[in-house]
Amino acid sequence: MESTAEQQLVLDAKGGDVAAFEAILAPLVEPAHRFATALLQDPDLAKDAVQEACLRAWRKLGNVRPGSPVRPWFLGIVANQCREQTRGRWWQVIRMPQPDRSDNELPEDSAIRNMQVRDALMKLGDRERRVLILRVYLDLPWVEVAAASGLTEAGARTRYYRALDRLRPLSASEEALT
Amino acid sequence: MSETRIQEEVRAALNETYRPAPELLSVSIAAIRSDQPQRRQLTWVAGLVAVMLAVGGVAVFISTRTATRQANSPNPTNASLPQPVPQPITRTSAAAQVAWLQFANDQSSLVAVDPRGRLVALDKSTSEAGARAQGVWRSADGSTIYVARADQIIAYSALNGTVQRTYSRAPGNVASNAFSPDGRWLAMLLVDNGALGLQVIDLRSGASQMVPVGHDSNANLPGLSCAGGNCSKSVVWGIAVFAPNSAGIYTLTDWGGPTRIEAFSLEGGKLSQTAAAVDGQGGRKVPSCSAPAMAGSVVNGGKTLVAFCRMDGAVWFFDLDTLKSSGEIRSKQPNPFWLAPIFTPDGHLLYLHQLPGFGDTMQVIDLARQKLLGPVPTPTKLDQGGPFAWLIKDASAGGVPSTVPLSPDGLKLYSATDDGIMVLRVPDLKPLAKLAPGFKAGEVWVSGDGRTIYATSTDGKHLLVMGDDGSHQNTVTFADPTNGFVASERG
Repeated sequence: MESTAEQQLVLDAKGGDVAAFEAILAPLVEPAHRFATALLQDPDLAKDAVQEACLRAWRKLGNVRPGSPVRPWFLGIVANQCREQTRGRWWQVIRMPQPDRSDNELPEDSAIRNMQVRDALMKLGDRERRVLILRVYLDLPWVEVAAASGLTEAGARTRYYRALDRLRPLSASEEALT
Repeated sequence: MSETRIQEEVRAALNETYRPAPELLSVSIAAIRSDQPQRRQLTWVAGLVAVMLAVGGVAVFISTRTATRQANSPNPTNASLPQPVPQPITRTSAAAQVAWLQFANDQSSLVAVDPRGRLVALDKSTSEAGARAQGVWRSADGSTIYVARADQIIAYSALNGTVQRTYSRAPGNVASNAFSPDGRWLAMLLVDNGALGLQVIDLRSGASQMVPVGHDSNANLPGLSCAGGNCSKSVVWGIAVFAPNSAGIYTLTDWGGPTRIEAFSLEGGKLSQTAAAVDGQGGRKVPSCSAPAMAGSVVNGGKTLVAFCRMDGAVWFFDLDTLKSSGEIRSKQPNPFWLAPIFTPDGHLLYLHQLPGFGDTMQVIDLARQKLLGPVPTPTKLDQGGPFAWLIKDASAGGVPSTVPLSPDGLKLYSATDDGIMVLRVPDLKPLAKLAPGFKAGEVWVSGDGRTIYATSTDGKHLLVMGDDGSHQNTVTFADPTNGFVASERG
């Protein structure tokens, strides 16, 4: 979305124009849902998180600074909403890694591999995971990764490379096997 | 290891769990629009009318949010589970306390063991040539074992294996069978040379009735191939399910597509069809399931049929007044056939147990609210909290809740583990006791009165018999491995 057009929509939305807000959200909901799914590892919970984030964003539109892009601001709200959900007792009690698999199980190697990667992602720190997903999965520019994560660009890069380092042994072991 | 490789792996892993939700924008905007009057109120408060409008707006908002969430997923902040309704203990006859097992290498052969660990029946007669069993079933009251042969059904006393009587049956392969809760009726879905029929036998009088059941000879049977290529003459996917009052039967058939649901009445003791619905006809949209052996139960006071697809983990809901689909929940099943469905006898809950070899987890569906909770690891240690504990508003101190059978009162689940049997409370799965620690349990059966627990070893060669508190343990050893208990729908 062009920034001037976006800024006009933001102004209209701040004035109570829901249609304008819908136009702002339209390109953001799908990446937000991907982001939330990646953070929560649960597409249904992610829907709840995005829906709640949309409502929060509507209520907090006044916080958007003139000229600032909406996407990182909105993704930041989504990330915070996901974090709040993980703080809930349900999550603490219920959240569990995928079950261990025995040798006689059916899924293909790639599915097992993907599960291991997701497990490894869940073991990263909150900020590291957030930065990695925004950069790698949503392909956001550094400036937006930083803004959505509440970090400086340098801070975001540091956490990104730290996350890569933590995932490297997993990939290395895979390479050793192949 | 290159950065690019890691990036590719992360993308692939995350793409696997992502499911598009095209409705998300519109649902969110609807919630925001409902929220608007609340915001306006802050600015335009000008009297009672405005306040009432705002309150109305909030109500709409709340109802919209609630409705949206019910259509979505387990909500961490407002989920709850109903307390179980204790069921009366009715299977108290001596016969209902005897465990019956099939042997693995010949499932026509049966063995029976009583609560004191004594072998009371060993029947290999049904393995005779030409007399192989098409099914071995246990009556609703637990007192009779029925063996279905090609031309008759033989009723054995569950107490000692003596033949009580025989019933004639219509020809055909048995696609499904069900006993009415009151114990009077046995219903069988039979497929004979491509024709499907529902035979109902009055187990008291032996009288039999049969009506045709709709069946599309071109119905899909995904993954199934038959000699000659025409499976439909010998195979039909279908289940028959009784209503709780024993006066109605529902059949769900051809679920490979087009799915068909039919209703039958036994009012006045006469079997008749009362309604039918087929996917794609009359504007009906009914889901399909690409695997055999769905599991079903009539719940909600006889108003709803719930069916579980073992292929994709979907749980279907049908409104039985209209035979229309009234909802669908997709449980989390990593692979087909990994989940075992367990309906609680009060009709409130459906537990989905992921088999221990595949991770030993539980999910639970609140059938009235159509809400899925979990998965959670099945507790294996006594000091673990109940994973669903926080969902219970009024914990029942004395409350206790089948391979995870239910106790006859519906208040306990018995989970087989490599270290004994965990007794878990319904609905929160709080561990109440561990029976026979160290025993590698494969399958568990609970006697009709709930006072005796039977557990096979994982190799099927040993049967542990004990009291429901783990006392008075006896072990029976078989020469051949067994392959599970013969249990009724109710245990």
